[in-house]
Amino acid sequence: MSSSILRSRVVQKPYQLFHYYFLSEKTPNSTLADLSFETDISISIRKFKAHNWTINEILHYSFLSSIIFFVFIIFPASFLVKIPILAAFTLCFLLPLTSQFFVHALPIFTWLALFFSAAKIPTSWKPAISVKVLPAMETILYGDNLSNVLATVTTSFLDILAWLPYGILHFSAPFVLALFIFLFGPPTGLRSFGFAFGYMNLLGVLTQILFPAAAPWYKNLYGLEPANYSMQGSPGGLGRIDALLGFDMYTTAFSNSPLIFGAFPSLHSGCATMDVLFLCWLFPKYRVLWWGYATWLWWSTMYLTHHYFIDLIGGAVLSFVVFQYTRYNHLPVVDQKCFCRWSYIEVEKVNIASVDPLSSHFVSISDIESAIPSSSRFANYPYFLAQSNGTVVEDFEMSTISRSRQTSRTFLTSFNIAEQNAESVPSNSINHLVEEEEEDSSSLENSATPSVFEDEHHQISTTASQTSLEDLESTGSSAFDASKPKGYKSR
Amino acid sequence: MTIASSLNQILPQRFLGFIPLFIGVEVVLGITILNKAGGVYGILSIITGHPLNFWQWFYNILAIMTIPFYISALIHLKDKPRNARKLSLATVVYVIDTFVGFFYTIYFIYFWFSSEDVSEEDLGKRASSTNSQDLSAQSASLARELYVTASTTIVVSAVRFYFTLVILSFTKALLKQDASEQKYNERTRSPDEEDEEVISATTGIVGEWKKFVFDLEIKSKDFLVNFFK
Repeated sequence: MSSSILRSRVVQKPYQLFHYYFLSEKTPNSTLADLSFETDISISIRKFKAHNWTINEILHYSFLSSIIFFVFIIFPASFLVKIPILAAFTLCFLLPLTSQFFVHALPIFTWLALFFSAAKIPTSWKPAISVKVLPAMETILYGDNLSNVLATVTTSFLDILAWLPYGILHFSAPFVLALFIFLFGPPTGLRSFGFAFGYMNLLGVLTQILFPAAAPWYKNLYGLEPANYSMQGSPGGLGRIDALLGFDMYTTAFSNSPLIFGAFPSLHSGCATMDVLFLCWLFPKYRVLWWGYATWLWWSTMYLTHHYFIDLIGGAVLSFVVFQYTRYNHLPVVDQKCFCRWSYIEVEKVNIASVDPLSSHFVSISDIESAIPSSSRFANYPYFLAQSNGTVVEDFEMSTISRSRQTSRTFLTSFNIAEQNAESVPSNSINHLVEEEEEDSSSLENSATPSVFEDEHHQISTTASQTSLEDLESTGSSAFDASKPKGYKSR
Repeated sequence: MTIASSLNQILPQRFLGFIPLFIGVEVVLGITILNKAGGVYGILSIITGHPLNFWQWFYNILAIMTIPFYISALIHLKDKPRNARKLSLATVVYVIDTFVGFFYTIYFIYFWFSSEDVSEEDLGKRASSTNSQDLSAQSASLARELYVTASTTIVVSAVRFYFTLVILSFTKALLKQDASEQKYNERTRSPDEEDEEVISATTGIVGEWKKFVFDLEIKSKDFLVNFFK
């Protein structure tokens, strides 16, 4: 029964396509990109016992579990309901099949648990609601109430334009992005996204609970009158969308929102900024487009009177700081030569010393923004000038040779063969060339290298590289006797 | 000279005491660019018709004008040897921005309490709304809101001052390194001169803008080199 389903065309065709585009990238012996399909709990328990706990991990898990415990206690349901739910969750953490996702999504689960039970926190525990602090701070820091500036004129066209990012993209983008990171990012990239996205939201919700403040719609409805926790929320400008579409999509949801006075920081802004930062990490070529999305969402948030500008900046700054932490501690480096998850044969993290411009270990990165075809660019590559005795060896097209790491390896070995044949090739400089090529990829910035979207090109260039490699091998040193310096980074 | 030497005493060597300075500068520039985006939204009042006075206009325009310099510095932060002059310009702009910002903060405090804030009526309303003692206790008192506003303003200003020190410290170290690299470099022309040649070859409005910015960058680099001497 099940085998006939597996053999059916509906399953086979997508699998073939998936295999053609993604799995075929895999190096035969590499298990880096593999997922675990084990369902034996004892594997997890053995791993757990053998694990060496770092201080950061202890802080991480004890912080998250104390919040989950808090939610577990305050949530007004019978323990007969709460305990089975907790047990089901625990099982997901123990099964290797599910735990490979659940463990790293723990910050996200914690945030969701805290957010949806925020309304159940006893009112007497909650701090007093600020009504005037946000508009006052906004005027003091930015000169005016920008939300008022933008919400002065409203039309149905602008309503729709504001609703798309705020009401639709905001909720769907993280899922799409997670899929992209899984498919096109380096292995373990998705974990970092779960960590950063979860912690950003969790810290945001904690701030919203500890510093309750009223949103611009409150000022429009009640002025600067005192607020209290018995008040209902408001959909703000999204009420107009409900009127336009003819059904209740937001009014009820926002009126009964768990965090009515959670204006600061804006997690709409936080999520959008986190999406954008990860998209810039994954597909840096389109970063103007990604930041365009963030500015669009910021506008819509103020237009719909859901947040003050200071809330947006609070969310964005929170996101940016959490991202920077993740980037230098957890996030693997995207290799622009690797097309997808299965192309990677090793995962590198950022080496802080090599990207610190003040450090003596700094490895210069080529600058693609301003392609200045001048010999000055070689100041960045001291190895070349120092060791090749004036013969510059970069006159072959890097782009036709290596687009994936695998081919760059074969490239290196075939070079060694070529070296033995032709002694005139300065061997040091070639090794350094390949080394630099790899070190270059450790930089997250400045990567206008071919995008992973161009998969057809990738296929072509891989096949093309075979011939050019053979050419290189047969012609020996003649290919490298370039007298005229040319741009090293010709990609 | 005296300013530079007394600055040396307080310039942080690491961001927040333990993070490499360049990460600090990334954070500072990133946060600053996000904040300056406020100018873009403020200026949209041309379309919406929300009234702005001259000083608010000026503030928004200044904010928009600084954005390109900060973005350029952030993009070229790790791009040697060009980062020395890019960061120099951003640092000069940042220091001026901090001073202008302090005056504006004082002006906007006055602006808020003189025109926007409705504390007198508000106070009356809060006093009269004693229908439910429990509910009014859930709202922050006027004194508390004032306290939070005032302390946040002070903290933000202090953070801003610290950020200025961080970017100054980083640029100082970068310029020092740049100077020593120039000394040991045997080439007759500096990278700046080579870039200048390329930039001066460009034409059109973009070319003029590039020349203008390059000029500013070199001027601020020279100024800072002299200042830190």
